[in-house]
Amino acid sequence: MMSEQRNIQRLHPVSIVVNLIKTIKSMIIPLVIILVGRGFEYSLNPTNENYYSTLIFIGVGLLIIISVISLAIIRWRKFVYWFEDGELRVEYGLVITKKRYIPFERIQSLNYKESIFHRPLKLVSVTVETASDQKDAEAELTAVSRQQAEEIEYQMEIAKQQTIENNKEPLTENQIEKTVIYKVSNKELILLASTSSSMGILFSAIAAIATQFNEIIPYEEIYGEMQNLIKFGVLFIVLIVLAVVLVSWFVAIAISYFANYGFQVIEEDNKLFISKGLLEKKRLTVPMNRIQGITIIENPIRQIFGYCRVVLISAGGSGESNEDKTVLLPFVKKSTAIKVLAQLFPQYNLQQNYIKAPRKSLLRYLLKPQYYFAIPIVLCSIYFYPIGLFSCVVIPPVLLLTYWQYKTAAFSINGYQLTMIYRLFSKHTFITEKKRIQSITQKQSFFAERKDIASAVVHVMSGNSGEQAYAKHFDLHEIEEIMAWYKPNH
Amino acid sequence: MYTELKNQIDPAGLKVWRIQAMINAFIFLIVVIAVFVLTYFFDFYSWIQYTLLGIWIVNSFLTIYLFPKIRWNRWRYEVREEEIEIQSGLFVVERTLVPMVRVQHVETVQGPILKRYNLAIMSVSTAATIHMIPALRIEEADELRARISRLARVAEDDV
Repeated sequence: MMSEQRNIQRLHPVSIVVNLIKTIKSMIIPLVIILVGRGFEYSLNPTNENYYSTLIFIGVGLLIIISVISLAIIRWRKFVYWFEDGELRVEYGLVITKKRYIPFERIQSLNYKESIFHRPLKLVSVTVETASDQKDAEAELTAVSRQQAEEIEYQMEIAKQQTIENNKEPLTENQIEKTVIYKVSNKELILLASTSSSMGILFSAIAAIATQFNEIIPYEEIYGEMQNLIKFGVLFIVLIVLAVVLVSWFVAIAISYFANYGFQVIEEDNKLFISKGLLEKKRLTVPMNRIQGITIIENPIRQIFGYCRVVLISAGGSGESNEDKTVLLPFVKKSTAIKVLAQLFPQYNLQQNYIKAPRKSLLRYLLKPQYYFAIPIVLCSIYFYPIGLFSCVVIPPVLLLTYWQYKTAAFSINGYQLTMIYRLFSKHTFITEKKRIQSITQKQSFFAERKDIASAVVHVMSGNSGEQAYAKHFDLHEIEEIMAWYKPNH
Repeated sequence: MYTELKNQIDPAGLKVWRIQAMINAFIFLIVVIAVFVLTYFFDFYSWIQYTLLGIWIVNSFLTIYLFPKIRWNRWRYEVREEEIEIQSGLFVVERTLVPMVRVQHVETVQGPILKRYNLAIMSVSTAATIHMIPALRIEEADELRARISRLARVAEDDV
């Protein structure tokens, strides 16, 4: 390979702002603590006893702000990257200069993100991900122009073709197909936004309305004119609470709507390109061979209407996969999901004969979570007797949920495929293959041993670490069947 | 179908666990004594010190005598040609199967107490999990480590 001209490139200066905002975000909590911790005893009056301490405080504050800004600027000045010898070379660092050389053929994916700072200047933030499980093996270019981003992709393509030529394999460039796997529809987007925002807010809104009705009726009948004032006061507070809840619900809907706007999955050259976002655009690349498994998640409300969410479990990559998992289908009819999955993963079979949790483990499902509540309930009931007895109201809903968990729990083994269905609150259908499983643990407590009940925990790789799926309280023989199936020479 | 795994960990491992538990109990004891002293000088409720002492006695009995004994009896492992199987647990018995092809690296760690008894902890890492075999004789650990890393071959496509 010829060494190209060392054409050093820099990030766009707007990356200073982006980095500054990141720093400020991480500093905001300690700052608030310091500010509040002093008890707001600030004064600019020279006769006040707090005058000097306020001056010192402002001085230190200014010093920190100046140093943070100048550090951000220096950091930007120091960050350079260029292409050389089929590698992306990045050099950065404040005091210690770090050099990171990433060979193009090692790059697994380029992920794009465009925040509101990037959009008007036509810039993108590019994250380069490699197959290595070390976090260090990645590079983030916070703000580069679209042409610069395209050049990285172009250079990657050249490097890949050269390796293909070296291996004397025929070029397959023209045969690459581009298929749109999924595109969110407007109806789905709105339904997604209105059901995804935390259910807690919705429930509290309903509760607020309910209490409002309860309060109004007796007031009108029983109390006289004097009480009207109080009634008005209570009503006023209830209305304000209701308004706050509604507004926050709408905000949550809007956030979810903007985040998932234009959600689209494209398959090309054995890679999935997932793009989404209205204000902040994101484009993720997931190589198909890195996908360890999939999970179909149905939360109770969506399950009733037959909708679900499909999440990819993919190895490698940044912390992204933890907070904001690689969502393949954000909100679709289950039948659509099955169709899409059948197209993408022909090796997965979604129609299975499931083995259900046995009758004898029902008691285990119902009672085990109650142990966690037992001590708080008993303590609460004793210390706040008799009002504390109301803490017992948590028991029936938990019983219902655990009964539902028992009804949901199932698994099936079919050839090399393992499917596990379990419910925490939402129903999870976890599908993986034998070769993707890192380890399986069989668990059995002392009491379960006497009844021949056992559980299995399956570990697969996800992001930089692992993820688990469960088959809880099944018949021992069935769990042993999973273990036997997993043995390499089976 | 259920077969007990072949190897148990070294009996000296039980001793090491007990010594570690004793060190912890000793630190806890210092805290208890401190509370007694403070109660003497500052007029605390005396039930606090006696409850604490009671907790200390029960805790010491459990962590020094009973728990290590149960754990040691439960601990089993077997390293076969194609897989590693480890069994552990106190109240809940866990049995983990790790295929050799999934093993990414093997490591032995040795603290001062373990070193005195010529023991080491071996940890086996996969891409998602870490599994430990505590208290192996150091020669055995070295041999096992060499064997596992020889047997473990990661298939490219899988992870």
